This record gives sequence, structure tokens and C-alpha cells, in this order.
Amino acid sequence: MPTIYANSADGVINSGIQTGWADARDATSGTVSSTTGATEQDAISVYKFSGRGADQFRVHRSFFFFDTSAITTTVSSATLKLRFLTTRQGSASAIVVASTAFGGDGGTALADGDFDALDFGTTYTSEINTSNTSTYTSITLNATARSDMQANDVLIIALINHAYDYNDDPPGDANTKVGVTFANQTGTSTDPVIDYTAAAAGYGHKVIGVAAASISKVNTIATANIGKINTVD
Amino acid sequence: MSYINETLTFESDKIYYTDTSFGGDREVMMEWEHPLMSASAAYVCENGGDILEIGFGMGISAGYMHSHSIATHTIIENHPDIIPKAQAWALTKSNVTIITGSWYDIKDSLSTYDGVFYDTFGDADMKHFSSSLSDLTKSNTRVTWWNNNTNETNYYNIPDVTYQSISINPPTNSYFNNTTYYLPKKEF
Repeated sequence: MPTIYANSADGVINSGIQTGWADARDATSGTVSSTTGATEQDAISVYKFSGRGADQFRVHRSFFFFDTSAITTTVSSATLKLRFLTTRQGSASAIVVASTAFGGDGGTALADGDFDALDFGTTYTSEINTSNTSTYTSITLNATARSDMQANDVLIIALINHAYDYNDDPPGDANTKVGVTFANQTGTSTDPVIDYTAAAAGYGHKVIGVAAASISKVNTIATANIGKINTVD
Repeated sequence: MSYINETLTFESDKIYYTDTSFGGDREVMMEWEHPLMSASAAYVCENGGDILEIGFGMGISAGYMHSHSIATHTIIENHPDIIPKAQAWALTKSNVTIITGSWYDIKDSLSTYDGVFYDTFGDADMKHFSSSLSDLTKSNTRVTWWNNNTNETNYYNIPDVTYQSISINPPTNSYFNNTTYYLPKKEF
């Protein structure tokens, strides 16, 4: 099964301390906490602080991207594998949503302004239980993610808190945090990684004189799904 | 760790503690607030009478209140590091009562007052402040509170509030960095 490791440009952005939940969760910019850490204790966190005369909040989100340029055919299954850390606190479930960080193509370093470079309406996973801290947690990527893996040269994701950040529900008095291993970890045994299965490349020859590159279907069947025509490779 | 369990550091110009998980040093109260505390005390003491102060802090507002003619002064303080300081301050003042603990826990044992000043920190019961006022006030009671909002609004959405704008120049701190403070004035 092919694998794609996250690019080592991955990192964490936090909203900074903001008065009011919306000011933190909907901030248009934040502060890149780190893009070089092997592990980040505050990878997916939501903090509430009852200070002087107002509640204050801080939201942490993690961003990753994967080079999917080699994938040209239908991705039939894909599993994101993340290694969560023992440092956990509070209601710590997570979710992965689509992101346009890293310049939208992986060509730009993670920036403060990427804090809101995510689409809450485009989820790539279901709610993620982060309680397994001893091995990889395998997370099924949905059809939207698999389609984007095929269609785009990079798959960019934001890993965020589910209960508060994704649901846009201000936390009560409890803080929540989850630590994650990033691609900067030495070796790849705990790096964020995607395992996937893709269809064969399909038929690559002329059909009745028409070049393969100009053919998308033969008798309504996508060329990606055609290995042979009339038993001929 | 909740604020009530934090160990506070007292310096001449501020009270603070260090919260490594939420921004480092957290100032609780600072010396630069004198003009705000003076104006707040002046407002809640306009009618004289009985004054309720929730949150002693550095005692700045308490000191200003005692420059006005008031009958009684009830102070509620919950932080174990501040309580002894409030008690020491009150030792020579016969009309001062110090109540220790959470204001919300003991609110049903309180009276009604001619002036109320609410200025707490790390207060999980902030959400009850607005709804509790009817039990603490009477006709013409003056109420004010620490107002973090940087315009003529208030965090508690208390209606019919007027605001006194006060120009300030606070040093960078973790709770208020605007150059105008909007002192809320609510008359019942």
C-alpha cells in the first residue's frame, strides 16, 4: 500500500489570547507556534481563562500537507495515521478539515495568516478519538479527501478540536489540549502519514487512432478503470 | 489550575502570577488603575450609605471609598493570598466588614446596598453578576464594575448603562491595553 508522509513544513498556529470566544475562534490571523518541532504539546487546544472582567480564549490548530501529485487515478481508500502524545487534557476529540494553508499548494511556509485558512464545511474525517497515545491512530479519510487527493497535487489539512472549535461552541471552564507528533520527528516511524489504495493507471494506448491522453472514457467506462480492450493491453 | 489556587506575587505596582499554559505572567491588578478606581469609588459612593465591594485586589478602590462619607463598607474577597491583606487594611476601620469566600456562594446572606462595585478576577460566577444585582440593590443604588470593553458596551449586557470615558496610558499588561476606559454607571 503506498504511503505519503507529511511535509516537514507542518506546524501549529494559535489565535493568541482573545477576549471573547468569537475573537479567538474566528480570528483571521494568529501566531505560528512552531514549524520545526518534532512534537507539539499544544497541537489541538482550546483554552478558556476567566480573567479580569471577561473571559479570554486561545485556540490552537495544526496544519499538514501531503504530496499527492503522483496520484492520478481514483483513490479507493485512504487512512491518515497520527501519533498522539500522552499530554492530553479535557474534551480532546479532534477532526480534520480541508485547508488552504501553505499558499494553497504547499509552496509557501506556514504563516500567521493561515490560522483561518480552513473550511469548516469540508470535513475529511469523522470525529477523531485521540486517546490512543501508544501507537498510531488510524483515521479514515472520506470520499471528499480521497477525491482531493486525486484531483490536487497536495492534500492540505487542518487538524482541530472537535467539541469546541469545529462545533463553534465556547468551552466552559475546562481547558482542552492534545499533543501530536509532527514530521520533524527523527525518522518516519511516528510521522503523520497517509496510507492509500488507488486504482491502476488504466488504458494508455490509442483507440481507433485517438491518443490515450485525449480519451477519458471508452464505451462509458473511464480509462482509469480499463486495463485491457478486447484482451489487448 | 484555577486562579484561586495560584500563588500571587505582590509588588509595589502590581499583583500577578505566572501561568505558563496561558500566556506567562498574568497581572491581576496594577498601580496605573488609580484614576479608574478613584472614579469608580466616587460613583458608587454618591449616595453615601452602605457600600458593597466585591474584590479587594490591591485595595486601591477601598482606599478611595473611605475618602467619601459612607456608613458601612462590606468587602468580599476570595483569594487566600489577598484575604490577609484585606483584613489588615480593615483592622483600623470600624465600619468595614471583610467577608471571605466566593461572592456567589454567600450572596443570599447579603443585604441591599446604596453602592455596589464589582471587580473580580478569574471569577467563574461572572455569568451570574447581572442576574444577581436585583437582590443587592434598592432604589437609586449606584452600580459599577470593571469594564473590559473598549467602547460604550459592557460584557454583561446590562441595559441602560451610561459611560464615563477616562483617558489612560497603561503599561502593556495581560488584561487591559486600551487608552480609554469606559466606566459603566448603572443606577437602579
